Amino acid sequence: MTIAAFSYHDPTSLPEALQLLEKLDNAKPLAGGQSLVPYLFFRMQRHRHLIDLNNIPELSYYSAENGFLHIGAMTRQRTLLESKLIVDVCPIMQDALHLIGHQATRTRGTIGGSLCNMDPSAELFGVAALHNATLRVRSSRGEREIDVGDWAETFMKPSLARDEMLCEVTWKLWPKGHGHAFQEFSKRHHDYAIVASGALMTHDGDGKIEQVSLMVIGLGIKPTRLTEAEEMLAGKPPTAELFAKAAKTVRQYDLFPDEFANQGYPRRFVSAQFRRHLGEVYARRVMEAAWQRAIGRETGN
Amino acid sequence: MKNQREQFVGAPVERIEDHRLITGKGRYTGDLRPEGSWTAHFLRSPYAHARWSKIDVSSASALPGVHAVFIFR
Amino acid sequence: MASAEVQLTKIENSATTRVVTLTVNGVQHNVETSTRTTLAVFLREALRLTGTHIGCAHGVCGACTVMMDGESVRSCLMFAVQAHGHDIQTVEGLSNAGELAPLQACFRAHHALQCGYCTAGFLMTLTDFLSHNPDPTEEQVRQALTGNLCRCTGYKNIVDAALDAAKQMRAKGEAAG
Repeated sequence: MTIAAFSYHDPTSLPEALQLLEKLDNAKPLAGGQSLVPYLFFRMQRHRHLIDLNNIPELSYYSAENGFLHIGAMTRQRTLLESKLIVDVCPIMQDALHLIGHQATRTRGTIGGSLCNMDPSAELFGVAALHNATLRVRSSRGEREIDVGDWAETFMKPSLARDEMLCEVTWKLWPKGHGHAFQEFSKRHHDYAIVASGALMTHDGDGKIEQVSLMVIGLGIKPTRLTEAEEMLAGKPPTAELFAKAAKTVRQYDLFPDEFANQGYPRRFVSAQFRRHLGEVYARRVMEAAWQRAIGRETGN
Repeated sequence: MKNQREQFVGAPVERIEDHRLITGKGRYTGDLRPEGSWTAHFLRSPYAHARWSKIDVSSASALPGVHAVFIFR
Repeated sequence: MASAEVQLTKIENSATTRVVTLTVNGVQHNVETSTRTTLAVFLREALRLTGTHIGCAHGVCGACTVMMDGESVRSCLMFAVQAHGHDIQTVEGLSNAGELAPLQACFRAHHALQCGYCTAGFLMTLTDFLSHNPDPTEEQVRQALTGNLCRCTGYKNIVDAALDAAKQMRAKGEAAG
């Protein structure tokens, strides 16, 4: 179809953008557009106003300071993928970015756009969840911080007020040399993930897992932190049996509310049972791969 | 001069249309704009097996640039 | 994501059309356009550069791929107004004064196109990719092409053409010193 008519606004500063968002009725911020423009094309969404954020340089940055990573919401996925700093301080982000979309969509797609679109398959939401990220949102009224665990309000809707915009995501970096792995299952390379899993791990220098963070994408509307599995692994010597037992905890999850269970491809064609099975398989694989990396043995991931 | 059989059988032959296709000079149906032509758009029903009681084309017809709106009766 | 039936009564004209100034294949243009016109439609209709094709119009097939400021983008997912002030390169800008780029010549030599509809998109994706990855493995080329769909060729000849072009460009680069 053709995109329905809208009024186009291109602010050049954040305060200007926030003012527009506050004053305009049915206004939508336009970030990379790689998800929003298709929704507009299909008329699944329709807005009176689009606020183009692509001319606001102050929203596009990333830095590692005092052990924390800070990323501006408009930072392009491609920028992060090609960044030597990111590979150095947060390698799992690069693992995930390789799997996101395609060369051309990563050129325009942004981390903020992905986090706000909140597709249940969004890899970057999973990376943020693994790190207990903090999301900084702003409006003309002020600024507030939202824990990544509280970010999702409902299916594909973050807990943003009408006049609020995501400006930055930040998290504490894991120690240098930490183990990491991110893998996903999709019908074809770079399709929406049906299931994805990520793991971060450190070892205590004495053959045991020290710190561990585990999550699975695809069990519900947002990434699922496998907290029970994490408790099972922390402080233990890793064995294949332990990883399998930890992965089994995935079986308890059935987190797509019924009314959303059949929304859209690929979910329409994949049963919850299959997802849980895949979730368990991929959780185990990333645990094993992350441990190998943690003890200094590279794997092909 | 080789006869055609010797020239082409077993030899790699480059296609004659490739040059314009790789330089973006192909002329596909969607690229053609004959003089005085209009562009048609089709609006399809979003509902299968629906029963139509009324179709109001007045606001569509009134839009600038719309020459005609056709519906099936 | 519920579809909202918004009653649009009157939209302020000033934000529904804009004059766009942009450079396309080295030539500057100033054109008034509707703000909802995508870059793909703008290139094809306003500038009559029909080499860029629209396959799916929603960003999955890659036929519309062009380069903006040296990087490949989906022109069907950008509005023309977003290209204001930027540098666009389309397939028509690949050849230099009639001489084919190595990538184009390799496409022909390796029979990497049949109907040709997807070809421009592949050429632009590969131009971006090879400019940043001059010595790729076959696997890396295949990864780079995941966003371009072809129904005719089966991809093998496209991959061969890309690897051959990369090799030729490296040799040229070495010869130039």
